[in-house]
Amino acid sequence: MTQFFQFPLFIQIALVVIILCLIGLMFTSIGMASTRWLGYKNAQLTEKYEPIFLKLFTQLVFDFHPERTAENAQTIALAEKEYLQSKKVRRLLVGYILHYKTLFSGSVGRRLVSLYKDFDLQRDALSGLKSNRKETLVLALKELLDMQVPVDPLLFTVLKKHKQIQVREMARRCILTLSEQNPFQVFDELNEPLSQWEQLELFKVISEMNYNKIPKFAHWIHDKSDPSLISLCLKLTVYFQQYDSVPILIKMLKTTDVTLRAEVINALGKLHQPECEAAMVKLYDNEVEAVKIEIIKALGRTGSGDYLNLLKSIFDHEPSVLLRKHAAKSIIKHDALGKRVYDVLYKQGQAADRIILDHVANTNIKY
Amino acid sequence: MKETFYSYLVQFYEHSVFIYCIALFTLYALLTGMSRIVINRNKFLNRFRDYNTLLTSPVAAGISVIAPAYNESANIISNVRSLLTFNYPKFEVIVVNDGSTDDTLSLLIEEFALVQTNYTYIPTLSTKPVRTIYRSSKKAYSQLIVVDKENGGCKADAVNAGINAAHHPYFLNTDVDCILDNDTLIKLIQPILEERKTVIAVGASLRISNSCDIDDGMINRIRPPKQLLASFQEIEYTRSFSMGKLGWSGMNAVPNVSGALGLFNKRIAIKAGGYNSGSFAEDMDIIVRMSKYMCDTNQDYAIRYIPQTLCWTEGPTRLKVLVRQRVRWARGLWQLFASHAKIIFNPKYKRLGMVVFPYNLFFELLAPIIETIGIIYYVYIVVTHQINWHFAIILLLFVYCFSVFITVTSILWDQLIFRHYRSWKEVVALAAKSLLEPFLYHPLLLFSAIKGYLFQLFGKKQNWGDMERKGAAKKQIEAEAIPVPGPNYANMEIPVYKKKQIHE
Amino acid sequence: MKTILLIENDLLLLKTMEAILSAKGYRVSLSKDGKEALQQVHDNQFDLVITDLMLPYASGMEIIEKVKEQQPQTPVIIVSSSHSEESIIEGFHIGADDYITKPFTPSELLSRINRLINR
Repeated sequence: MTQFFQFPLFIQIALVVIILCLIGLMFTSIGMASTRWLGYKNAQLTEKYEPIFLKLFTQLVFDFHPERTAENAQTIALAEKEYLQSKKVRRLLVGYILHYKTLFSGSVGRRLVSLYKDFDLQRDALSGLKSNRKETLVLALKELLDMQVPVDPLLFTVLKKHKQIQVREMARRCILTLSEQNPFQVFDELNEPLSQWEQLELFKVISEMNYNKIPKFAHWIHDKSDPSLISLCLKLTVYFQQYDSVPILIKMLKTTDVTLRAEVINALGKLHQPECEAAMVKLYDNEVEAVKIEIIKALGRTGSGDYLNLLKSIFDHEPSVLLRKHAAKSIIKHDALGKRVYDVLYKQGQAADRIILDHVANTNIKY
Repeated sequence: MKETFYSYLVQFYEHSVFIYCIALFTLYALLTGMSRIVINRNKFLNRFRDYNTLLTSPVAAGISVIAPAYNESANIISNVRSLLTFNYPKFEVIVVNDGSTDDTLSLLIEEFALVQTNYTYIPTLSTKPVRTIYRSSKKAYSQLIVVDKENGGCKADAVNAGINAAHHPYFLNTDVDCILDNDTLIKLIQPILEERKTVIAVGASLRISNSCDIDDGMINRIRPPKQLLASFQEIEYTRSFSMGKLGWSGMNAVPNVSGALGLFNKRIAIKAGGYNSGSFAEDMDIIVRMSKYMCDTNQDYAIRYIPQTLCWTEGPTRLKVLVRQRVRWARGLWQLFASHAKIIFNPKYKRLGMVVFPYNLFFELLAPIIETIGIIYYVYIVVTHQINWHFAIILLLFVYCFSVFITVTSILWDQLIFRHYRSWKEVVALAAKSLLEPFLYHPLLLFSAIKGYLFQLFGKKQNWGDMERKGAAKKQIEAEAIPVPGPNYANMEIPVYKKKQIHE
Repeated sequence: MKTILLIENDLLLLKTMEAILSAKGYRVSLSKDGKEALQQVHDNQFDLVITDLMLPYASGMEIIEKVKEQQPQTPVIIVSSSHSEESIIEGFHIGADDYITKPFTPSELLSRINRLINR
């Protein structure tokens, strides 16, 4: 040891690093071995229990006979006694149930939920709600939500202010899904941007909601809302074809956010209401290309025919090939009215023009 | 006096090199820790996020898959098939036939019932002329577009042509000879959807496919390469991706997204000028230019890596081919610094200027030079009997042990994400080869890097060469060059119109 | 005994549906990817084909086209997670006889199978 301190500093450092590396290598090797071992054990567990679970599901879900009460109860009791004492096996079973729930609905879906509750499989998720680890908390909430297990609504009130963003996201999703009184309070209280993932997930939850619960999404389409919320509400307005939102969307055309303006125009087009055409056309000359494209596309979707000449003019005079292509496509979307204009353009057009016109007329080409 | 000055110089040099090593090792240790955090976060998000939501969403963002192909008749059909079957709701596949002289195009035409189609090709980025655009007459292949163009001499030109033909807001840049996982698109888009800032590029891990069981463009069984040279490349890729790139991703300081697999924001790529045909490292070059654009326009951005291995590529098995590849990469790195010197230590470029470029300069570009000088110095002190053998051995062990430790840890990190290799023996064999890597493989890379720098300095012409893909044997069709009637984009003059005020 | 070709890359669903269909008296051939499916369609005649859309090697659309080419009388049911109008229309356009979205009820699928296989 005294010899160690006699070495120059850099040699001492080097020796320490060597020892740390050797210790690290030892731990790494143990880590690899244990990872492989755990993986092997999990694979063995799955191999062992999959046939048992499949039999269980056949009897209690797919080929379920409610009148065979005694037999069913016996199967459940046996399963609880023989293997569901082990948390690992329970988690494996929950995995199968959750997977099946994504595949089957209706009576099978309901049976899966009953099975989950009959086996008291929610105990692990319920204890997970008390965890300080965000991962455990979030995954527990997700499981309980998927399996329709009631959770104290007060918990969401706390969790929607949690410091971890995924917990807040999950709390919002739970409130939207489970709240009977006012699920859309989450939109009113939103004070941070929604990620695109969360928008997708909220879109899915809302699109599957009972129609009676669906509000007018235009309520949140205004300058004071976060752009991400406006974006989501625009998509929902289109999805539910809330035509009466058009005047509010027209007001939103004044927004200074270019991306948002393009999204508003896109939504207006997909609502197919010709009354918005004039407001959009008024903006055209002073807009950037991305917004011009949306205006042209919207004119094709609303299809009143009032702006066919404008579309023709864009095709004839715009230098941008992309704008010309979209103009030609919107002309075609006017069906019989557009066909006449299309034919004139084709007849008068040069080779490059005809390439664009052939492209848009080709039903095999989506874009 | 002279001797004192000399001894001070020697001491200064030795201590500097030691400090350099410590700095590098500290950085690697930091990256190792950071990559573990990124892996844990990714594993959690994969369990938290329901990919089915994205798969079934009507509002998912579209992705254009761009795959340049040059003389790829061995694998083209099977690999294009695998590109057409991604699990993703909205995508198109654009194969750019970059003037192939074999039957790549005719194989595609026959297999996918392609016909020449009038298609609005917008040459936003300049490339060699596009001859024809093909689409399938069968609805089953409606996502496939084949762009036939004159050879541009490099991948960059072909990718730019693909970008010009692309419709969607994101594009995946890949090589047609790579094998991609079916979930590539759905996994790569995750960081873009997850973050609240603009993610301009996403990468994922690459691995070597040499000994994998491949059947018609699908990998049935993943095995580490048996051949030693390919094994070393597998170790290198594992370390580079599982430790390096993930660690950088955690710090939002990713230096590069691999050209074999990267998802990019198309608008930003175009604003940055697309791929540079003159660069030997076009993948690194575009990342730098896209980052520069974001900094110049004061937009917050991120470049991310995900830990999953989504791409398998055939690694060169011949020394000559490997050296050629690494010489090109070294030249590309040198070129990058020559063309973007203003970025280094420029606070305007935030992490790019203050972290990524300094790291690349000191620990990537200069590392081979410092190491070579070190070896020369080492030989000198041995020959002149100035060496303290005990200290020399300790220092060698210091470098060697750390290298092996980092490599084995990367293999462990990789095992945490995926149990790629079915047998534990395969893992042990790969880890064991890391003991040989510093002696056999590293000197080869060092030699290639120095050769690359010298070639770049003296302006020697780069031979891109043939990567000698063996591929899975596929049918060979003897075909003549197909004449090209119909619209010839190469000769097309896009008429320019005077811009008029558009009135109702 | 009527034969059904079931094409699905979700192995759990494949096994479960095989069990359900076999219990109802159908003889079931399985394919877990597009390549196996194309081979099966090429080599054998089936009374019905049930296919997912997103499959490795060859898409469900390609398989449906192949079935309609080689066995035009064989009805095809698509079982897919895609709910999009576009997918559904494309599926019918390419020749599918029915389209079921996941999650679905096995009894509903069985009655659709029954209707098509016995027409």
